[in-house]
Amino acid sequence: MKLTEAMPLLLLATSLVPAAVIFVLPEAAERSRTLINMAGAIAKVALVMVLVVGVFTGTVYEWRASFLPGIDLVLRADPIPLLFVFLSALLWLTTTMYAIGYLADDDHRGRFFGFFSLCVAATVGVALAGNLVTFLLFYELLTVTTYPLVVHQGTVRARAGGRAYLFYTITGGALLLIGVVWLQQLAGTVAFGRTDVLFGLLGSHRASLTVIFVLLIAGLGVKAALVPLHGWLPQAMVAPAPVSALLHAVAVVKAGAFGIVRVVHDLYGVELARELGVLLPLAAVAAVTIVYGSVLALLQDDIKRRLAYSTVSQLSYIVLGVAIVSLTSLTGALAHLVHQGVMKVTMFYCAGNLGKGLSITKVSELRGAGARMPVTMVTFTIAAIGMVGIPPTVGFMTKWHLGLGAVDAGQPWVIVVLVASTVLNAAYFLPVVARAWLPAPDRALQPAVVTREQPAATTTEPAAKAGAAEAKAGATEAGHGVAGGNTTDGRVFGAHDPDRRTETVLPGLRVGGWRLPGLRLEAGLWLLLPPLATGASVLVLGLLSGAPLSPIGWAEVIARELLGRG
Amino acid sequence: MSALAWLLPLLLPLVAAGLALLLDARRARLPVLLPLPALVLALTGAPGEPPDLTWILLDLRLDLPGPGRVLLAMTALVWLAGGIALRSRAADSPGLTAAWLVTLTGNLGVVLAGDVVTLYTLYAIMTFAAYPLVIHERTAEALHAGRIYIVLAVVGEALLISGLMLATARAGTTNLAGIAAALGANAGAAPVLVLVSAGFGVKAGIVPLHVWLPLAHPAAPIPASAVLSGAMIKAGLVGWLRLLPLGIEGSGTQDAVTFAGTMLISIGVLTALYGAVVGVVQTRAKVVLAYSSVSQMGLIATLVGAGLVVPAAAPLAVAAAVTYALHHGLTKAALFLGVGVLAATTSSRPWRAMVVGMALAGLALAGAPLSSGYVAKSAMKKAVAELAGSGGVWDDARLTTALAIGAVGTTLLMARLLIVLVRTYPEPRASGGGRSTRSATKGPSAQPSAGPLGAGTPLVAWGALLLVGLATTWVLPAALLSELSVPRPSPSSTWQATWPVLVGAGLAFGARQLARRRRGAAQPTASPAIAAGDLVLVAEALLRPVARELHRTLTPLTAVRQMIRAIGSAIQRTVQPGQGFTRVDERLTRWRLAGVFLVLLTAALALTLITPGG
Repeated sequence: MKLTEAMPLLLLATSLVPAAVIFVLPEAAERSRTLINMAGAIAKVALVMVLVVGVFTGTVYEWRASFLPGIDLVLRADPIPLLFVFLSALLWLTTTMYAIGYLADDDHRGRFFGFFSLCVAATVGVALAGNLVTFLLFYELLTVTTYPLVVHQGTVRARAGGRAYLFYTITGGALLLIGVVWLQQLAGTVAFGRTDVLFGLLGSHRASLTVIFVLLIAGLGVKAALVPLHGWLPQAMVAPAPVSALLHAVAVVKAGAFGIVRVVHDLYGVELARELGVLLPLAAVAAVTIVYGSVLALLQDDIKRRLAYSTVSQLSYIVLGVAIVSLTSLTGALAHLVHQGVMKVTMFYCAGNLGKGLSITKVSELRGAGARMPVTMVTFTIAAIGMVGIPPTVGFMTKWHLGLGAVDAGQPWVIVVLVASTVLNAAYFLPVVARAWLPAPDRALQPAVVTREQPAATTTEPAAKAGAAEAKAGATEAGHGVAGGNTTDGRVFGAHDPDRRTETVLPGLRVGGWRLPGLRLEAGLWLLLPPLATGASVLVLGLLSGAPLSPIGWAEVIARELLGRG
Repeated sequence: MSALAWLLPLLLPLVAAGLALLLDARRARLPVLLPLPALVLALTGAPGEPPDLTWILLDLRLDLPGPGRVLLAMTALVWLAGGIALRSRAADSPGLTAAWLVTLTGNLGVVLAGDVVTLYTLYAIMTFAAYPLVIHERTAEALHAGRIYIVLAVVGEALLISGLMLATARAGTTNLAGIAAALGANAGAAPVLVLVSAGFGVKAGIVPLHVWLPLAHPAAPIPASAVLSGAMIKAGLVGWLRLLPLGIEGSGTQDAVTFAGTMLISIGVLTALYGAVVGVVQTRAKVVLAYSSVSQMGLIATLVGAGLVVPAAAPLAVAAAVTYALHHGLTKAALFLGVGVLAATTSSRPWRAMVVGMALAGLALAGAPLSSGYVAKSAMKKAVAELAGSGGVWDDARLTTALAIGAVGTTLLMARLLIVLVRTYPEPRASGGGRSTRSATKGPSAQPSAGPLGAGTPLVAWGALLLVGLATTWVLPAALLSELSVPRPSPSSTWQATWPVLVGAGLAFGARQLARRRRGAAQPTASPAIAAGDLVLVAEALLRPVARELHRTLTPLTAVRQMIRAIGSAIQRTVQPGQGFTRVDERLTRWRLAGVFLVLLTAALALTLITPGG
């Protein structure tokens, strides 16, 4: 097997092999599991880098195997899937780190990280799929492997969320399946990029093509959370924070949005879609979703629910940019795959840190959080500013390209939607940020208490777990009794904080007259580095948008290729 | 080297902001020094070609035309003076220093930007980084002001971004000059012109978008008030000057541009008068000053409008506008700093000197002869004279009258300022006794620290700013802009500058006598007839029930969703195991049945095989 054929498989192997090993490892093998997880994640990033260099110097990486008579499984790396793979590889690395820190004292970590790796393997498959059948296969695999993660906590609410997730995604998958089979009947296996094939059928099968388009988009729209197919997303937010990050930024919703990009531009092609008249309705659905998601986000007090509705809204930026056909808007849409990813992943990391460190899950409880967790809240603030679309963040770059593209395409109404979304985003994110930076209300912040939800009645194990957690907290409290000190503002905190042991202290430095004060970190490095990295990239990627390999630059290359083809 | 000269004014404050946060920068000298590179750049002019930064933002470009140099100098000077005044309170928090420096970067960048993305980016950075300055005191008043500030800021950004996106897409370039030219040549540019004017108008404090200003400027600590009202308010002007099609003779689209210009003049005149009327009933010095800023920005807006209406007069109008901005920026910043100094004055003689100084600054703002205001007003008169024969709604005579009334209003405002100041901070009886607890604003941090330079530095900043303001307004615009020369006072021009001041002073004196006679004595604690923020308070009162109602109607939306979800889960439950389906399934899985199926299947297969023809 040539290396160009092996590369896509190797890319899959970097998460499949860790998954297999982790499933076999005993639960207690914490250190080896962490090692394997990180090794896999880093190996994947390294491989993606090699692929990027290769693809941009003209190498084609393709693996092909016969699956059914007449149907090949194709994995192919060219610039379009590579953007998605690049995103998921990098964010998987940070999310794995975060998950290791976040679940440091949870049970079933073996199960969790096994499925976590499988989930990313499926995402890579979705990205690299070279035709619709391969895409479908990995798309369904993604559904299945994510379910155990959503219900990880095993509580009643987690299970309800998981059920809703399955209900929606399986239904969506079924619609997609019907569409794929119908298209197979009609045109045989169509490789992505061969838009001429379906265009040739326009004369004879106009109605069928339209119905198939609707079926495919509806199937994909479930994961892409198009209104009214978005119901699972706010319910699935009961999952632990790293899983939410994975769902909202790295894998699941992105698979849906990416699929829509593929169907519109790589399968049907702009010309055909325009002939069928399906683009304007798609744009309208996206516009409604953007506004609807924002309005509902405004009504949520639960931080993660607010973030979930914000995802509903933000994802449709991608769909909107795909549906209004112009080079600039498509650039914005493709770049938003990455942009939305880094912004939302940061916010979920922060929401997780707030919940874990301060037991804050509601917007109304946020006062004083900035003083208690400055690093977390700084990164959250940056991401929130990005969401609103204030420059120089990545969110602004998306909005700017979508807006300019809309005028180019002769659809200036889109600007109204974008501006409405800007104002709504400001209305539901800026007060959150402002409140967090206000001093805490007169009563000191409640000490963090591990409040687990009511465990499902059928299990007896959570009760034992809670007992164990209490015992552990007691032990560490004793160990850190001396360290429980004053913060700069003189308020004693942390005496009852079960997360004291995750607190890291960096020593101060003195160089000449300058003093670099010692830092008492608000959480462990595993929990702080991921949001720091992604939060910084919200700013840095936005600032460097003019650079060739920035999301915008990359997306422009792809958009040129996609639109030049039709 | 030249790239460094371009970039240092922007990069240094940003780096310093980072350092202020990371290091223990409580005794930061940073705010004082960092506007200096910008000042040097403004005075020496563009040092060669600006650097090529295609990777940054979307191809970042910088640009510094002549009017920009005047505005850059003004901005740097105001921030410099503000920084000196801030030193005495930088001990408050490194956060304040950092926000100060980031805002400074944004403000300088707005003036230096050469493309629309850079302009919008730095404009937004300035706007949002100033929020911590506004709410710094954390009082209920400051927080309310901050809320209104952010709401109006977001509204402004929304108006602006829509205008900029439309303009940029139609122009096909991000270059500011290119966009302005395209707007001049483009038919149907009217909506874009309105959006851009209004978007920048929020920052410039144009009625009715001014409502945040009388709340936010007074709520901030005094050095921040000075930069807000002196320098940052001019960012709106920069936007107008860079993006509106000034001096571009359009082909058949002059209608739209003339329309925008006439609108801008009308709103400018309205703003100038409105600010004066509402400001004159205020009872707090900083609020009076804020309304005066609103009023003055109205005058500047009329100049921009005049430039739009008569393209040939545009260079002169622009020159007059930046001269006026220079004068107003420095004088207003000095007035704000002076309030702080006066509040901290603890003995009689310096107090008297301060009051006289403030009166002089007030006279300058009103445009009294020989003051910086006189220079600015003569430039303005020259520009307005160009409107003669334009045939629009606003010809030169009408506008001159309106501006004279505006000048009377300014004098009244300044008289009001002095009255309020003397009332709020009466002359200390004995030197150094019993007055040490007085402060301009509430909150402990309003106290200037009593270090060796502590109480002195705001005084230095105030005095220097007054003198520099006088000197630069006379010299700088004439030196940098070919359209202007140093005005030569003649009897007639002196009279024209004097009579509004005399009328204003007379009116103020008369009103005071009247009030004395009626009320007997002054009541320093009386609340103003029109509360600061005027319209926004009405809007808030109106909107609150609407918002409540909206929330009530929208919450059922969630209820509907919950209902749908309940139905969904009910369906799931019925479809789930234990129900009818399971029983059918159980029967199907019995071996016997499976056997029957197998036999049937085989039979069917056999049948298809032996059927001939198929």
